[in-house]
Amino acid sequence: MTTLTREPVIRYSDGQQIGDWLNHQAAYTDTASNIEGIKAPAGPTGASSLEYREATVSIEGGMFMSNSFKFENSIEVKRRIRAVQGLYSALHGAVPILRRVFPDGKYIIRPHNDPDYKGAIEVLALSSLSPETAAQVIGELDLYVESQPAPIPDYLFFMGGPL
Amino acid sequence: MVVARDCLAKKTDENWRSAINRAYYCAFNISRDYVDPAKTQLSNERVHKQVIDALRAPTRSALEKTLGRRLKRAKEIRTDADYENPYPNPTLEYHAKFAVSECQEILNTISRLKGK
Repeated sequence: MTTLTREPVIRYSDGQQIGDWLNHQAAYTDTASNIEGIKAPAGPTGASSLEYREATVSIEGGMFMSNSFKFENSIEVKRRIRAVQGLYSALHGAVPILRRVFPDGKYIIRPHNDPDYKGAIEVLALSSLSPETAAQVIGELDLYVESQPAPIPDYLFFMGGPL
Repeated sequence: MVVARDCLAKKTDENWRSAINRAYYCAFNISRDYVDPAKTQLSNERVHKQVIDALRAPTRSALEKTLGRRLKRAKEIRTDADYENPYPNPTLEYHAKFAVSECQEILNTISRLKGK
């Protein structure tokens, strides 16, 4: 499990804050200091119609406790960005659940980078979430995922702290 | 689950670990009884994985499959709580409360399914 020990502010280099998945802004992290971000047109589009950009963004005041966020080179970044595009399509129906739990849009969805969880995706909560609420929302996500006709990869839910 | 909640209330590392352990085994045993009530289908070898796999089998309903997902998450937290020292995450209390909530949801869901 990964936990965000402090709540960060994450922005693109142009100052735009990241995290509102409904507007198809997503973030991609490397280490504690940088994020590779992508941005795509708004709307429930399929993966093929999404556009993306690479952007350097900053985390202000946040600290990730994880051993899984590493980018080796730009090729790896692009590969993972393409992977996340497909993920957006697969999980688009889960947006209402996440928007209800995170009205400020502070969450990230991305493929998991840990080889032990190959093919998994992760939902990273950037704002504080009580453990009881986390269990509730994860159950809703579980049910959404299991109710889909097409297979959706396993996902891992990473919770934000502090308590 | 009563013991798990008692442990949570004591607010120490060892009790948070115990809360995770007790909550998991409560959920696991209830789940095992649910998928194999006659205790004839599952062997003791890797029985935890067998129960999770049984809940996530294609023939199961979406709600039953969510039980498998929850139990798998609880098992991962329980394994860390039992074997990792120091705990690989600074928020053991958070994970203890989370695990107890997850396991309680498993119990509630199985109760609903049995009531149908």
